[in-house]
Amino acid sequence: MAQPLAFILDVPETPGDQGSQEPSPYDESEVHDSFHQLIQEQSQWAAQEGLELQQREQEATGSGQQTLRRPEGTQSTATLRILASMPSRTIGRSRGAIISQYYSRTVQLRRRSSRPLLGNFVLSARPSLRLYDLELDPTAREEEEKQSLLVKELQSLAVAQRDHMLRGMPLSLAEKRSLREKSRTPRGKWRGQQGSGGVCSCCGRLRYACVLALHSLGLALLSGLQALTPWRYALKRIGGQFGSSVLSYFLFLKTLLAFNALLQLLLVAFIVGPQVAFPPALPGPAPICTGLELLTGAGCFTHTVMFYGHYSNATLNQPCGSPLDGSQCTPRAGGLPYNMPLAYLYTVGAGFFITCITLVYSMAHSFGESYRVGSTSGIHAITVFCSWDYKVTQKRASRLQQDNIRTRLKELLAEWQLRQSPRSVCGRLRQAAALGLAWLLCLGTALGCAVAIHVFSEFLIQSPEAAGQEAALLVLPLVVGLLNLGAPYLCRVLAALEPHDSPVLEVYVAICRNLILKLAILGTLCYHWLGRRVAVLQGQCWEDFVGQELYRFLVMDFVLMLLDTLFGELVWRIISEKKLKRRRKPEFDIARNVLELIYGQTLTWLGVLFSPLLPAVQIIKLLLVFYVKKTSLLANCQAPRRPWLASHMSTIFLTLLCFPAFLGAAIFLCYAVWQAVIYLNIQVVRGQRRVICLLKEQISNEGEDKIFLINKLHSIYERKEREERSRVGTTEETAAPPTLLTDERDD
Amino acid sequence: MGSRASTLLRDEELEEIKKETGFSHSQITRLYSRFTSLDKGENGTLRIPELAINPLGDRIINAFFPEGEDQVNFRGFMRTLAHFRPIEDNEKSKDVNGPEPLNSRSNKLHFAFRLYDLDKDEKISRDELLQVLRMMVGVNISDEQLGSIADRTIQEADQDGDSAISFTEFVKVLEKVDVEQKMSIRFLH
Repeated sequence: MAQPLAFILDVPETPGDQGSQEPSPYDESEVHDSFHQLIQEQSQWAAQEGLELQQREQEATGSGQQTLRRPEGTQSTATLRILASMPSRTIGRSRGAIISQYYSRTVQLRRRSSRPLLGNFVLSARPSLRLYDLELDPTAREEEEKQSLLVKELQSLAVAQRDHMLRGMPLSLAEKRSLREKSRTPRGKWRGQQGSGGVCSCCGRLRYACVLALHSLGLALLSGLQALTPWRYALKRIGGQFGSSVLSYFLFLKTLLAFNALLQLLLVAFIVGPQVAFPPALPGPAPICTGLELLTGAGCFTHTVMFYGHYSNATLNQPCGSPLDGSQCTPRAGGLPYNMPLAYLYTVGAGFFITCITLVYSMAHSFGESYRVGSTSGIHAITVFCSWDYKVTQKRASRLQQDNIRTRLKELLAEWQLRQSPRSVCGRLRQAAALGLAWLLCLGTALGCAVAIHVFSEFLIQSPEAAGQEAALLVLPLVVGLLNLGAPYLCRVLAALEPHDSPVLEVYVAICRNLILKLAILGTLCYHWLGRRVAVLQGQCWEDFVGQELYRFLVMDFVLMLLDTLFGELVWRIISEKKLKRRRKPEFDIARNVLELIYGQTLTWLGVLFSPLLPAVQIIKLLLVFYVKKTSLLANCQAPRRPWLASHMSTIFLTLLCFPAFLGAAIFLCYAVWQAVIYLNIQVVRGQRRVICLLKEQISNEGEDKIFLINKLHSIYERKEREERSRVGTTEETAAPPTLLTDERDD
Repeated sequence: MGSRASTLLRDEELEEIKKETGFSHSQITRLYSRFTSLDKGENGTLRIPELAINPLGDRIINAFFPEGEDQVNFRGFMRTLAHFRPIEDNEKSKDVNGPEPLNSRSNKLHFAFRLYDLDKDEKISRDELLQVLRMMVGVNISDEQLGSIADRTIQEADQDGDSAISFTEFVKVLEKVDVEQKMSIRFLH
């Protein structure tokens, strides 16, 4: 409704008698010839469009008043004609109309400061034409003459006013430039309103030009930014056709893309980039690339920047290159040492920190927004009375708007109707019982899945013969993926059996159940990797293996999701249409799809430490998922039977992403880092302790040896002494010099 | 033609229109020439593609014609257009004692009210609301749903319990909406 209408000066021409009395402003003979052309152009256009604009016959119509006739029929054609001929509809079709518009505009501008009273004017000419010498020359003027008049007008203005006016004219840029040029040069013709001299006007012009340039740059940036928002039209279409609930899924997908892009940027800048710039020496010849490693991540992908094991654990780009055979150190140019292990850890840590902050911020933002929407009283009336945009002129935009308003009204209505329906006590009890049973079954399913995965993974560990083949690596991801796919369908079937009043609650319950299932599966897998695989893979690079496992899971998840979309929705639609003869297409299962997204994102976060390029894989996967899901949605699904306002959905999705998913991934990674870093230290310490034990033993052994030797010596000496004493005893008759004995004893 | 032309728009009339509607002198003259150029005699119905898209366009056109009449003169034309004149700052401090200008918020809302009030009984009844809704949302909605929406709207707005929306209730419901900006057209000077 706030469409700016430009009214043009449009005077119909009449074959007039040049009366003796002074021509009045509205004397039809006093017509400026440029408008003759205008009227002709308009008539031609009108004739083309099926309108008939006849030359107004100024015969006496009897009444002195002007009237517009309204013919019989439903439409008021004359007023329709008014609106049809309004300048906003006709601008661009006749330049004469445009230029005449600026005639009057310039006149107004010039007279802005002092608007003369009506009485002062001579009643001889129309206001805007009074200041010109009217030639009653009936021949049509050339366009240059029109322009010269315009130029004359422009010249009489101050520079700022003139530029302001020129800016506002909807003429082409070339015309504006020519007008500006023409009005600039003859400075002698300027009258009045001249401020300072040429220099200041130059400065003013420069300043004006700068401001203009900045303004247009700003506008271009704004419009460019708006055009850059991806999938704007697709999202509008989905929202209009399917409601805000389905739209929230696609918006969540877009948010996930943003998170992954941020993380990947960080990793590429600080980890992948430096490693690619300084590639380490490969351990052996690179294996040949078969097609299988796209699925398994092993094979020729192993010793690339994709996985942890490839990254060097030394400092890159050292100023002193490693000296070969003890020669002199050759200094390398531009050496900024880059400690790779430290950088790796810190970058992953920083990435997680930034992701955490961004998540919490988006959660809070979404929470605040969801409470603003729909909280105004009288929202029904405001939507009914104020939501139509009267500016739309394209059929497609009009249809989109109709869709959007219709969906919004339906949702508002459904929300209100929900609050009105009463529930009986008996019905409530029944509902509670059904709910309890369904919950038990779903929990049992989740537990069953977890146990099955655990058993199967143990079996895989125990059977080493299968570990040799590369394709055998895909077995676990396949099994887990199938369980991941099948169990939500089971829960969905159970949910269909229990009655639910509000579709919102239904979705929330489905989300909870799916979440528990996914958490059980992921928990089992984490235990399997960190608890068992690490123990089994002693001595080898277990980080590589875990990274490859996560890659496999991600890819298998994507493949199975594609198949599921194809079969789950397309085939079901065909079956339900042909065989079951139902006219209803399947509905889009929001809970299951959102939890799939969260599951994929959790896998990505789990694997970021071991495979820095995993977010890139996730980005590609999300892009493909968007298009596949959108196509499938538009082709196979229908709008929810009971529309509901999904104001809180985004907040819930983000909360689920933050708390179980992100937190769990962070804990897993902390544990893994502890394993990788501290485990090594503990090994070292253990070795040292062993050495200490050995040494202690050795020392004690030597001590014992010493004691033994001393005792032995002592005993030998004693024996010798006894022998000496006995010899001395036999020669007691002969006096023995006691000095000998004492001498010996002194020794 | 020449002799009669001077009676077409006299200065006194111009002054009157100016006082009544608040348009400036040049605006009035310009609108007059537009008005006269459009009245070219009877031609039957017109087909205008842009308005065909706008489902509520007919209502606006209807609003130009005073009650029960098939014709609109220049005064009436101006009076209708005056509703869309933007509210300027220097007008707000004008005389409070005089009659309310045509482009005041209340008058704008009254114009909008009359768009929905088909039978001009100063009340928007359920049927009138249904017709407007049907025009707005197209065909992919069932009648009963539309009826529920209309019921809910009336329930929200109705305060005196007569199952219709009177003008005061209409104003109350739209008090948070920026009507002055939404219902303004920038007329060139």
